[in-house]
Amino acid sequence: MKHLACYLSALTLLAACGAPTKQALESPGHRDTVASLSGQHSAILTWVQGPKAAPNNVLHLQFFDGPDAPISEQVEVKEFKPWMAIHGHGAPMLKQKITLLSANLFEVSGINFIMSGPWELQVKIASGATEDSFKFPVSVP
Amino acid sequence: MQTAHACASCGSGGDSPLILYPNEEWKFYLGTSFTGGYVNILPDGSHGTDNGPQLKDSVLFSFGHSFSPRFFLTFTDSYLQNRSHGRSQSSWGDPLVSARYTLIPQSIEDDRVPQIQAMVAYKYPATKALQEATDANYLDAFGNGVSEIKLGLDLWYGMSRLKGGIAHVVTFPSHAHFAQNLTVEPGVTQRSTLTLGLSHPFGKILVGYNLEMLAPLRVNGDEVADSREVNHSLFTTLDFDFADVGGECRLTISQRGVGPWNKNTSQATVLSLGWLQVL
Repeated sequence: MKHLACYLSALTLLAACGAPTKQALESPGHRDTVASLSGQHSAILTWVQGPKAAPNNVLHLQFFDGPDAPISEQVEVKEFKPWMAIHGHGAPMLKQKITLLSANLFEVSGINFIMSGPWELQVKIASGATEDSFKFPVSVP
Repeated sequence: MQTAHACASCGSGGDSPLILYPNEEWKFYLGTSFTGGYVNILPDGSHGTDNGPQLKDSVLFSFGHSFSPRFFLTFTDSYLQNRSHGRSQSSWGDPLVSARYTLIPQSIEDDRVPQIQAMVAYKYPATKALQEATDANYLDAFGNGVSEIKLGLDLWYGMSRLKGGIAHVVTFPSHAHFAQNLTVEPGVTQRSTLTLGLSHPFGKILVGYNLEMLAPLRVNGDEVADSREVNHSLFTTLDFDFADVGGECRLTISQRGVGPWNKNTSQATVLSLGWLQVL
């Protein structure tokens, strides 16, 4: 357990060190760490496929307590909404799917960016009795 | 006997394709248009990808009635089709009622006097908006979801062979409420149209320029940064008169999003063909 904790901490530290600025979410493998709106949680977003103006973008989301501590309770992703503020519309979400991969690590597939431009991923989670929100800016080329 | 016949405004500055001459009591327009070549233009003016409908077709019809030589009303509606990747969806469009009043009529005695018309119109939001669409390519989005009131002025020199004019229309949108407590209010639109025309033995040819600017969008009461839109477009219209039957054939080609000065809008090519008939 001690070795696992060290391993997870090292992994998180490496991810945090490699985290670019919020604007640099533009190719597979890019990841970003974003704090929740309440400041109580953080999340690492990693693009698996995309982002691009297409219906098949895929990403991974991992949630933490504070900046990097594992969340003791299982997180539920209650909402995952792509939003294009400059046009005032979202994206078609019928084929969007959220899958739990492992402890507080989710895959979101079928993300449909209908066009290029500045988007925002609005995510709401629940962890026990606590709810929190995230906003991830994405520049879709 | 030849009669002098002033050319009415081409109507390019308005949203209804139908303009009635002072001596026309009933008139209709039936036309079709094809729009394609969509390119998304980003807030910084650069080009991006648009995964929405690749082609938009429409059948447009408009009826007009003159109540006096100076005042006429038109009713316009359309049937629309969005197409992409071999799929399509269709819908009726947003109907429009428009009124025009001639403040200053053209004068055969002095061709320096322009015709000046005031225009007011109302668009009803009958179709599904982008915020309500569910299709993967937004094929089921046909309108903006808001009602609109339009006010405009149209100045037109139509007495001589060389014609021209300018029109300005301001569109005041309402706000629309969507699911999940979303309220969207598009910005006020200002559209200016400059038109030059030349009569020919068979009708007339017109060329024109449109500048359309939308003020920033409001979502849930807050203004959205970088949401202002600017679109420059050019058009050419060929009118062929069939005076014997009181008809006119109109072909228009227009290119939206011309040049590098566009912002947060789209580029597209529109081809339309219509028939205007006096009843």
